[in-house]
Amino acid sequence: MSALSPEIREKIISYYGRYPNKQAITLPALHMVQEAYNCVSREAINEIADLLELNPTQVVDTMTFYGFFRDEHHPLGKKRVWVCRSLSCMLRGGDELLAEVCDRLHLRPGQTTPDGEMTLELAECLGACDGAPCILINDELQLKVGVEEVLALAKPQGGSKS
Amino acid sequence: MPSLFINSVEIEVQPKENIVQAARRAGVEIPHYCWHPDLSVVASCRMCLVEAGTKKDDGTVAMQPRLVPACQTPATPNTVVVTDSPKVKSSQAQTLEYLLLNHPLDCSICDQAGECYLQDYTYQFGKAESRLDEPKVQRQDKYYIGEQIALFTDRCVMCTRCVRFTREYSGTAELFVTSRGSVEEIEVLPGQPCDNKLAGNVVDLCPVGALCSKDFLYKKRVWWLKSADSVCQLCSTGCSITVDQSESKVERVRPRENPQAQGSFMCDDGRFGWKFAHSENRIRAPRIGRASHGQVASPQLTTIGAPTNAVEQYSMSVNQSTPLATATVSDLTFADPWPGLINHLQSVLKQSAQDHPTKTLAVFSPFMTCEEAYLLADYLKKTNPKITLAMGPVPVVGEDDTYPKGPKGQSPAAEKTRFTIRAEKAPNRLGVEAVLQHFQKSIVNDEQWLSSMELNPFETVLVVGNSPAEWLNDETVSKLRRAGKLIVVDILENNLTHAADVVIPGVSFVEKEGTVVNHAGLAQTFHPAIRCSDGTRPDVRTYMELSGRSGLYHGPTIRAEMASVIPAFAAFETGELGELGKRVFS
Repeated sequence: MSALSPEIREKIISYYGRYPNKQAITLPALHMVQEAYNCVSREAINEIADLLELNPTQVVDTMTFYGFFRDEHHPLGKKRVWVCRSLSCMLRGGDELLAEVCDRLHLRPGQTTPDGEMTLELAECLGACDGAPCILINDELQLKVGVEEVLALAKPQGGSKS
Repeated sequence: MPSLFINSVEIEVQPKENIVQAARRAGVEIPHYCWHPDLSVVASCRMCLVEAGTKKDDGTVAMQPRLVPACQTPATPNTVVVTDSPKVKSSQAQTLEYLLLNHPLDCSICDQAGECYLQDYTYQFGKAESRLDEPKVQRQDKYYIGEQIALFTDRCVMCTRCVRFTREYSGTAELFVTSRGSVEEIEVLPGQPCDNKLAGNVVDLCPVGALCSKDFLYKKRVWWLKSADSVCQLCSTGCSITVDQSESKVERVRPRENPQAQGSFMCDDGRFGWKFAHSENRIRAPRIGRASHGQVASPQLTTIGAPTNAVEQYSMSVNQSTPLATATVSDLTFADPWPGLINHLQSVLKQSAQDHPTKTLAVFSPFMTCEEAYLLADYLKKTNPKITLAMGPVPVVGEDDTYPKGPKGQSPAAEKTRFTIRAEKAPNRLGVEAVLQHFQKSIVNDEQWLSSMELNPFETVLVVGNSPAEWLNDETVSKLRRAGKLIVVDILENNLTHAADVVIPGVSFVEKEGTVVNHAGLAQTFHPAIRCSDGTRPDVRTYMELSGRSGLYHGPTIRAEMASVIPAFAAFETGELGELGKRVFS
């Protein structure tokens, strides 16, 4: 049983000509896999390495360099919520927002709710200081958020995107 | 000739050199951790930062405002390098202070202490004190990194030499860097430790005490070690090595850089292959009469006073007038068994050469040195030219093992091969063959003499073994056993010595001097690291005395003599082959 779907394998293979060598496809491949499976498992790493003619450790090396990728023991929830912690947001109550959310959900940044609904993350500046405090729900920016709005995301089907 | 300038010293430009290498030629040591001549350049440790600029045609010098990593900067014509300015010195001190931020001060229990580049560079380029008030980050040691390797995680300076070695040289890529920044560490995947055949080299590559050899761990402080230049004898690559010993016990073996032989590294077979020298199974005294005969005194036993079994191998001779069974302590005197043995051998070989010269055979081993082969062959042919000199079996195990391996463990293409562990597991086939070729005019191989043993056995057979592992199979030994008299020179007790009538103890390569010729015809001299094991002595001394040569064995003299007698060894003319050896035949 292959850890990667035929579509993802094909997509990785279709990238072959784009870069000077196959190792350069490591990062796009990791993104594809994480997007599809919410994590990059050991089997997936082995298969990526196989497709790119690398040793699995070379893929792990790149993957662990970036905090963005998750292994199979720490998969992402359905929603990945990034709370901005840069200066503007901090001044506008971002810190308190994050502390309250952590407290109410019994989570630390980086952790996922037990039901797998939401993963809480810290973000360095999201570039939306005019809407501080702001959050990013997966790829969608939300401005001037309050605690309840974030907590709603932790509930099934909550929030603007599931 | 174009030149460049290192601290105002002008030196010639050599192709493909970086500033570290060029500076070394100018007598300036630029400190560095991550750079190694055999690995790719990453310029990550920042220890080698220097000032660099260019000398223009009008004689003015334009220096770059920033410091540049010497390892990554090619030494091109008209480059001007300054390594001792306040700016460079400040950078070196700051880099060291940073590297030492979380480095534990456990030098007192660290194996690397004494040969540690953190210690050396801190002494030369660093500051005496740290400004850090915070507690140091402590990390878990990783004893699981490899069967022979332990990682002391908090000592690591993240130079990544080990990671690059496993990727670029062994190709096995077990090691990698996990995470980044202040939490990055060297790691292996679960269940996939760094156990390839070249793994031991990462310990030598580690400039600090992070990667340690479990075999050597906590055995000896390095300043008690004395070193000897040697040559590995476990395969025909003939890696140049350094044998480190203390109190006549070998503690470790390290590769010695030799571009002509193997490069900078060595394999683990060789790295741990010296242990037979300290084996319990060593033959520690000459013996006449078969070991399987037990204590039954053969007539020769009482005449030369050599005990028969291993328990009694303490050179005790028995008063000749007293039968062994009734000997008392006062009748037992310590005596040198060797003169008696030499006399015995001389008379046996002389008698044999007189009575049946064509039925006298000497089997040479590819584990012999050139000097041993020459002295023995010379003696036997002078005793009687009709004595047959033959080559023993040359052990070949599998196929040549080449590196770097591909991601699936596949061997590299010939032109990309960087290291080879050879299938021929003997150091000196070429050298011994050259001696035999001269004295016998042809190489009598093992098939030939074995078939004669079957049809028309030789009367007297002298076999030199000296292999670190069992060398002959039982079938061959049983064929050799058909000889009337079987004389064996060997290091360890084995099937052959048990079948022998006379056993002469040989010594291992760490105990003797000699020359071996590797697969490519490179002759290298190795030197004794430790004293001969109790009761043994160098094989060459036995052959010298057999042939009645006067004086002590002196390698260069014998090699010079070989050069004059055997044209193939003309390169031995001066007797000295230098540290890196000389190519004798191609």
